[in-house]
Amino acid sequence: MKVIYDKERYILFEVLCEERSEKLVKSEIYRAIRELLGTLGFARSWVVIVEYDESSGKGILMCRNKELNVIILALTLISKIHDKPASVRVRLVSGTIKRLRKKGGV
Amino acid sequence: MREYVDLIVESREAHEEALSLGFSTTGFGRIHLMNSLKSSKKKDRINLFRPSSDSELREAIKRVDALIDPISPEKQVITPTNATLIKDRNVAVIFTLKHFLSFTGVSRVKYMRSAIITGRILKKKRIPIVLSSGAETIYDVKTPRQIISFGELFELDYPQCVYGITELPRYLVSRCEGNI
Repeated sequence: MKVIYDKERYILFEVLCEERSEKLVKSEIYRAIRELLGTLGFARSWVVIVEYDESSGKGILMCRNKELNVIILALTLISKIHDKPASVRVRLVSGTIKRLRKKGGV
Repeated sequence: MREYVDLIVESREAHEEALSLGFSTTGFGRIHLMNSLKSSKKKDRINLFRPSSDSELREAIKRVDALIDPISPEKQVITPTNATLIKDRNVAVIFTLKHFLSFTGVSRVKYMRSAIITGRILKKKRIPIVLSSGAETIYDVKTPRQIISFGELFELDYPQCVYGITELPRYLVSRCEGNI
């Protein structure tokens, strides 16, 4: 039987920046992924930011399992948010959001 | 459990941040980055040199423990001939994330193209590749998982990337401590 949906992975990331409002962080993450992968690669990677907490700077991102390493590399490329020095750190990777929340304490 | 080593960390605050992110140790205080080939070698440090051309690299491999970022967007620094010399001299090659992030736009694309070719040459000659953050500030410090994904840029397999931030840097650090 042909598989229509690939397996997905959930990434727990943490933003280190003075400016970490949800709107700016989301747009910067999407911009970085699009810059590295292009529009087609972006569409194929199924990237969605599932949730993001402004106060802690932690968030969960979903992507396709096959594209996991490239997505992590794209997150690594973020060095500025709104002209302020920034860093996005990948804390955990998991196959289910439930386990990610349990391990990551989100 | 794996013990990750972030070899190139250039400040104390970055060193402490790296320890909090899951690295067991760093190369902070053990690195001697040679500014020119004329500068003297330190016995109790890991002597590194950043070559920018083919001739510099040939000169450097006679004197250093490892080459740092032998990659340029403009020209190919590591050629198959150089790679054979590196292999014979038992010199490691270190790639830092900081150097990669310093390029933007078209230069970054050229860097990536050069990285793929360099990675293929080094893999073919079985030259040890060390991956590192090259952090100067806390913003440059990344988690081990991110540095592993950086290795994908050089077309390294996952186990090779892991080896490049665990066993190889640990060996370089222990070799430096053995020299004291």
